[in-house]
Amino acid sequence: MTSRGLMLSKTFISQNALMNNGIGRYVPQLARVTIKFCKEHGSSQGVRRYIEEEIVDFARKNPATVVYLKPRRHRSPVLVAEFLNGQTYYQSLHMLGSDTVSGFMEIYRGHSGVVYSEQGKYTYSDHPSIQGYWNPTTNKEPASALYKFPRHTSLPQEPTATEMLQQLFNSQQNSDGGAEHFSQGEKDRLETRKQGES
Amino acid sequence: MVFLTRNLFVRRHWHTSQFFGHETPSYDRVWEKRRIYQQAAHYFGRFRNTKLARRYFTRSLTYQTEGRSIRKRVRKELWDTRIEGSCQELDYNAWYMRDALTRAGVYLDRKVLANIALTEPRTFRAVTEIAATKSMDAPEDGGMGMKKCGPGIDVYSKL
Repeated sequence: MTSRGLMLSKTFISQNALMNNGIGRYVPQLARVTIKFCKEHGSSQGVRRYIEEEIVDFARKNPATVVYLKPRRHRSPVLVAEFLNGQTYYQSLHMLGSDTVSGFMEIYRGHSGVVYSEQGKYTYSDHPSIQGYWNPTTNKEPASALYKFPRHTSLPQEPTATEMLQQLFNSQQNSDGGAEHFSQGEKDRLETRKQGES
Repeated sequence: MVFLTRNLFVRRHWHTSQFFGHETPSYDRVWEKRRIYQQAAHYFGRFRNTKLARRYFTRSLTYQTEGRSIRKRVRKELWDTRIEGSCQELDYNAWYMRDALTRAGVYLDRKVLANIALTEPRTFRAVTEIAATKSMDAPEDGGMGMKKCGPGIDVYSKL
């Protein structure tokens, strides 16, 4: 489905592993978990059961994470997860069962804190260009910076129509094969005779 | 102690009954609608919170289906344009490039050629020179007999 409908932003990978976490040493990124719930209302029933049964285990297994419990009257249950990069997530636990609540706790326990977003590319490179990116001067001669205009270029140019006609005429004159193409009347007219001669 | 509150809070369709012959489990239609509203959350006004959302979301699905082949075509056209532009700068007609490179045994595709024209311009210049040399060869040598073209750099002696 579209990422826009799920309100996902688009990112590009910028590092192979954020701060190399896990390569060597792993630092859990979840700093603080606050669970706000109501002691009486039915929407917090699952949360209350989770608190009764499983939360002490969670706190023991994750010494790097601080767990706070906040009973708030007449309020819908909420989980607030705060991470080391400063990101805060609000997860509603309204009408959820205790296994769903423990599932969400597990999700945030292993999360890096980076906002979940769609990847533009699945490839990443520290050096995308080895020879240097193209710029308008890449394929030009450096001497072109010092050109003075107007310039007579030695580019091969096609002959103009006038020049082609002149070439044709000259080749006919020289070879004299053009004489075959002319009629007698034309030859008479084209004949060059000096004044006085016959 | 028997915990019943969880079961009581589960949303069930009112046709379902666990006491009759066989249970007809049908999940609440609110989940199906929720999926649609999630996808239509960025639409304008009534198109995102009434039954129109389903109509317009179906349309967006058809756009997605059509768009799959359009994206491929547009990407190919873009690569072609970029290769043509880069070859033009090097005084070579990109129309003959694919044929010349295939004859020379260089089997790079449009995507790679367009990318190296940006990130690896010297390599692209050498590849164009290979294509140009092949194009300028006489037909009996396997070329296309074209006039002088291409960047005019020396590549073959270095290979």
